[in-house]
Amino acid sequence: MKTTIFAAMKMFLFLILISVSFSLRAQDVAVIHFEQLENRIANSGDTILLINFWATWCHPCVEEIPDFEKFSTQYKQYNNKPVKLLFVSLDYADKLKSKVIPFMKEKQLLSEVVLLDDTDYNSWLPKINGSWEGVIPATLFIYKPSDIYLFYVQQLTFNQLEKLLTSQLN
Amino acid sequence: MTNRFFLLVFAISILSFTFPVVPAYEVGDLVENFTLKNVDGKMTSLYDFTNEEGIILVFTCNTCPVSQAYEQRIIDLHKKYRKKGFPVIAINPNDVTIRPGDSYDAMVDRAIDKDYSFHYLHDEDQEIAMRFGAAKTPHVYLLQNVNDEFKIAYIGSIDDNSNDETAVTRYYLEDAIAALQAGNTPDPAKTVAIGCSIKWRVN
Repeated sequence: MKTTIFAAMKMFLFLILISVSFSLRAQDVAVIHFEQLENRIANSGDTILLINFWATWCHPCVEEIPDFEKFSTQYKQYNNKPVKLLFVSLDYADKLKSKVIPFMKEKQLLSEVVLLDDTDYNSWLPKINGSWEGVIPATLFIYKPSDIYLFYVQQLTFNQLEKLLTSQLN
Repeated sequence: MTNRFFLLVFAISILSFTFPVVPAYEVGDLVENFTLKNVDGKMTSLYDFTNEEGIILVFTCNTCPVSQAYEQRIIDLHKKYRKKGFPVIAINPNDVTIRPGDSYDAMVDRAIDKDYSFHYLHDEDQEIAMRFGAAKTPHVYLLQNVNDEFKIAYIGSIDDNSNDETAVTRYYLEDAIAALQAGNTPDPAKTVAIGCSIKWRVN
């Protein structure tokens, strides 16, 4: 009898631990400012860096996210170089708990998500690309060793991402 | 020779169909007149407003969260500036098939619900948004009346914080109006900001 209760308690604690660790993992969204994003780009080294600007309210963004996830799962590396996908949410910071995290859970996103809390857009949009009017989705494709810095203001599919990678990194 | 000529004519005619013949407006350009249906059911022309000092023309819509975040500010801007000769004219360019919430009827409902006192026009063919080079909502064009023609004085955002009006530090649009009133050129004359892409009709 005692052992059964003990086992049940152990099981219960185990389940709590799992749910806690899962929720911690799911809520792991850093709220950053533009300087931190700039640093990430500057220090990307030999990593092939894909940065996707999106928001939960942006329908075309939400549509292309599964393709980005699939790409990221399929290409952890390319030609022995690490491939890194970073989702940069442009949702307002006060929507982190109510919109961004529930969305990530629903879509079971595995890639890193940060929330860029910098609504003075005119100060940083031109630093990403001089002709960016502010339409999303927008995606950066960066590989510093070859000075590759490409910017797309459009929806991208898995095939387009794959083609981009294979055509640029050969 | 004739073959080549026809090929050339063919190529040119294809190109002129593929690319817009007229480039989008830039700061300093004069704006052609246009006529669109207002939420009151009447056709409204830009050149109905030649008695004004200028126009705060804003491409916006019902459905975009950024437009919604700016909605009260647009209402307030009209209340403040129509007395000073700069009324707001709002234009909704979104394709109804992609965004049913931006239909003419939905616009009428919203204008009534939120008590819009400015014109809210339906750019059903999306030609005006295309002509202005509008990319997103909200997207502001400040027009200055120069000898009863309208010249673009500023393009961009209303201010530097779409989410929180109380945290605004730069009032780009109001500063641009103040510059015009003082006889100066707005600086900056152009700003960029995150917004919702205009929902262009897919042919």
